[in-house]
Amino acid sequence: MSDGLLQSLRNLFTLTDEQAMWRLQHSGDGEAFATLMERWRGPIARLCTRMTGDAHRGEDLAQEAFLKLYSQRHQYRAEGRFSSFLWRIALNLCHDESRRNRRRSEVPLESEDEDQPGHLDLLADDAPSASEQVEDNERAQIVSRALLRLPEHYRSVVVLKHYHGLKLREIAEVLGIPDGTVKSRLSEGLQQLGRYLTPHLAELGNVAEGRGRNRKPEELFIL
Amino acid sequence: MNHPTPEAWAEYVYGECDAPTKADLEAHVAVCPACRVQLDQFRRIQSELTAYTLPQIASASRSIRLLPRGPWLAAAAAAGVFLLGVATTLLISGGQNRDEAIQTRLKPAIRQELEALMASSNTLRATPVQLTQSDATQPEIPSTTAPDANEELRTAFAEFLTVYRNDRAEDRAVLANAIQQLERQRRADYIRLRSDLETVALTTSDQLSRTRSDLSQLAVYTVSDDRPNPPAPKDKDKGRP
Repeated sequence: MSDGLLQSLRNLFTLTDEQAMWRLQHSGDGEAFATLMERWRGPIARLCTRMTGDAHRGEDLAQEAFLKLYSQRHQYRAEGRFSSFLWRIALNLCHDESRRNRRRSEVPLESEDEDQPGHLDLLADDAPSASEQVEDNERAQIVSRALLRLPEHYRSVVVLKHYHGLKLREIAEVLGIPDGTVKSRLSEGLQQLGRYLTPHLAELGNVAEGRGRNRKPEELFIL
Repeated sequence: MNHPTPEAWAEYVYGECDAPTKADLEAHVAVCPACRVQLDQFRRIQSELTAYTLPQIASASRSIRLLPRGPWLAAAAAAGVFLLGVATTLLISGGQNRDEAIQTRLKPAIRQELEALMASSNTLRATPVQLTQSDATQPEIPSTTAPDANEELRTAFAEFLTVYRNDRAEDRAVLANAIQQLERQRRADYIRLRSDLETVALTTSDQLSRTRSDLSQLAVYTVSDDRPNPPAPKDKDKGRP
């Protein structure tokens, strides 16, 4: 069987997200749900991880997001993008989670211990040497903490834009706010991040900064 | 000098502004050190954010490999395509004109078959008649001895023959009638068969589409159950000896 034929067969068998969602809505199709989950579990878990700063909590929230997707399937309107619907569900869950956390503990997130769990194992192991890897870990932890310090409405815009590559218009659709507000939140979010990151990363030294700058952001976009 | 807003620079670093705006911003930053600082800061933050990576979480890369997973799946897909082809041919060829053509072609065959059937039933019916004939001739033998009786017998026999001929004509008419009825019956049966076939073709295509979705689901399961699957056959193998 030629690759071309396989490709066309694959296309024949592939549902779009909206088609799968339609089937889920109209016949409670478990297969369509499995397809959606297979496709979106990764991105949603990463979004929740970055929004909460904890990989395990991120996974749990992603799971919860799919449960919610199933129970709220009738609220989805076909004219909207499926991805926007799902991002919105996940972000709402993250929002609820951080509100619960704030209520539960007087300690703000940013003052957590340096060696908080869940961060050391998050990192890509593409660093060539152990010392560089340690340095990368530290950078990632600093960035993660910087994100957590950001007010949530800035954080969600920055995460959707930077890590998930959504267009500003799509972010506006997800959050239900005007395009202009998304722009100002993005720029304000970046500036606040800069104010926190600049002194903290200066400690890590110039070498690391040079290496970080050489990386192409496109390679790490996940969607 | 009118400096672009930080929003504009944020849009710029994420490649979201249109070409003329981009050109304006680039022209501006070339002559404005303050905005150069702003732009550099955004770029630095961008690269720092990028340093915060997460491991790829399971599904993203796997979901792309939806179909070709091992030879059996390819074979199943091929079988699906073959069935699809068969169903399509059935549906396309099931037109009314072809239906009629087959009917006209079948008509003489049905007639021939029925005529053969009639002939065999005739011989069956004829046999007892011949028997009665021979029975009738048997008493003719003694009739040669008595001419009066012979004459009487001959008239009786003639009478019997006319009755027999009438009977046969009647039989033949009944049989012709029956044949026509049978022919009609068969044609009706044939038409019913055609419509049944068409229903089967439709059901098959329906089933096919369901199988198709089953297949894709199976592919998904095969992919996601990647690890738990291989040990299962091993256990079976162990169980056999």
